[in-house]
Amino acid sequence: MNYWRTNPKRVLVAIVALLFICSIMPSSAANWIWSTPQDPLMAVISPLTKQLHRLSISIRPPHDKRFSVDLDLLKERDELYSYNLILQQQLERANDRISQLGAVRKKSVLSQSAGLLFASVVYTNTNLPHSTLTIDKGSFHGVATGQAVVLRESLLGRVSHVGHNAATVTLITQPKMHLDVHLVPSESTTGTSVTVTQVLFDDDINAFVTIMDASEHNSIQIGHAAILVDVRWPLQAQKFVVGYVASMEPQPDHPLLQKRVVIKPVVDMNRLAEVLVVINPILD
Amino acid sequence: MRHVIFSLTLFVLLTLELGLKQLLVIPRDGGVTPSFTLILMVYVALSAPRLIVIWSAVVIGLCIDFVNPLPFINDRGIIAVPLIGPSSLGFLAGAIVVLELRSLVFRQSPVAIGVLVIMSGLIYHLVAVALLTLRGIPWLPTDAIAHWDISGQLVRRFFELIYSSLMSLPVGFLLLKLDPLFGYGLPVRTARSGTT
Repeated sequence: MNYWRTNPKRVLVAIVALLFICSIMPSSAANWIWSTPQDPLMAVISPLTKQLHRLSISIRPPHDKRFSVDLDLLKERDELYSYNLILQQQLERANDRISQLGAVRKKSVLSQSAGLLFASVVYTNTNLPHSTLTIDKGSFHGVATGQAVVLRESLLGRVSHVGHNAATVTLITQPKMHLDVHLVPSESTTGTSVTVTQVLFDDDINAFVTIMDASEHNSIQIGHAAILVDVRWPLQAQKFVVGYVASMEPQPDHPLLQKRVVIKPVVDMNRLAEVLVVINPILD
Repeated sequence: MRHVIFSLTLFVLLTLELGLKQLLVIPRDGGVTPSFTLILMVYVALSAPRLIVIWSAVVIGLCIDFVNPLPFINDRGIIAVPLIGPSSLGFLAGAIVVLELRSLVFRQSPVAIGVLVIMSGLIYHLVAVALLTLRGIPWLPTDAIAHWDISGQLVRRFFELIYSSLMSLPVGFLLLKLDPLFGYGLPVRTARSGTT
């Protein structure tokens, strides 16, 4: 005892060394040495510890969801939400495509075997004399030169060049484009007469223009649809809508004899994202 | 008398630490609980003479080593073995840190206890984790602890330290109220006296 009092530092060093040796002792030796003194200590504290543990469980059960945060479940839930949004967008796009296809089948004279191929617009060029679109489908997908390209019931143009995985579409809205059309009542207008005329695209006003006799103008109303009846176009393109009558005004040169009818295309060619190519049926 | 009070306080705080785990646990990183015994060690290190601080730290560390057995793998599977040394040496190291810093703080302040809990606790946990990790060295005649993950241990112990520091405010306040019972009688530093 006197040695411990007079040499506390040496005693402390000895204790530290002993504890260090104990901490790196093999587990079997540690279990053999220390399990015996452990028992009385646990016997002293365990009764009260058990009571407190029971109290803790009664206040806060072990798997209380108010306090447990399963991060994996939360992450999975977020991933499912994102996937759900993607699926909803795809469903919306699929419904839109179905309605497009339905509109095309209803409004045109397509044969049952004619295919409709969705294609994305890769590039739009409406500045040069030849307004064109580039689509991401080519000969590999069944696209061929001369096939009509439509969007819902509107005619957009026809395929002019075809590559393996892409094609160029010449639009109807290019300068000096001549089309033979029928002017017929649309769903929003009344009347039964059908007027045949040839329209010419005027890039100054970005619309088709035709000159008609004044006597015929009574049968034409604003909102009438101009549908294609041009023999120079493929059969699958006939009866697609070129535009709608936007205005009628006296022809400046012969105001009493002639009327200038302006037909506006329905579709804004600069904002096309997806189009339909009418694939010709395979002939046996 | 003060040894009796110290033993009783250690018994109460150790029992609370073990018994209220389910109530106080934060279910992150394997369960984070506060350490009341660490707060007691810091309080004693602030208040008691040097020799008493050292012995008290060793005793508290020994108790922690006994009541927290570690998992080891043997031929029977995983068994819990009480391993003496890591917490004892860790508490000793933490107590020495507090001894060196106690002249710089207001001893009657629970906030000072909270701050010193963090500082001494850092040393305690680092020493304990280092000693336990040492067992994994191949050329030592020891066997590693089952499923020992250093980074996981350090993260969990860090959050335990923060939790203990927060709990030291009420617990430290209560311990400071028990000052007359402990009766360590450590002289307060004045302008005329030297360092305690």
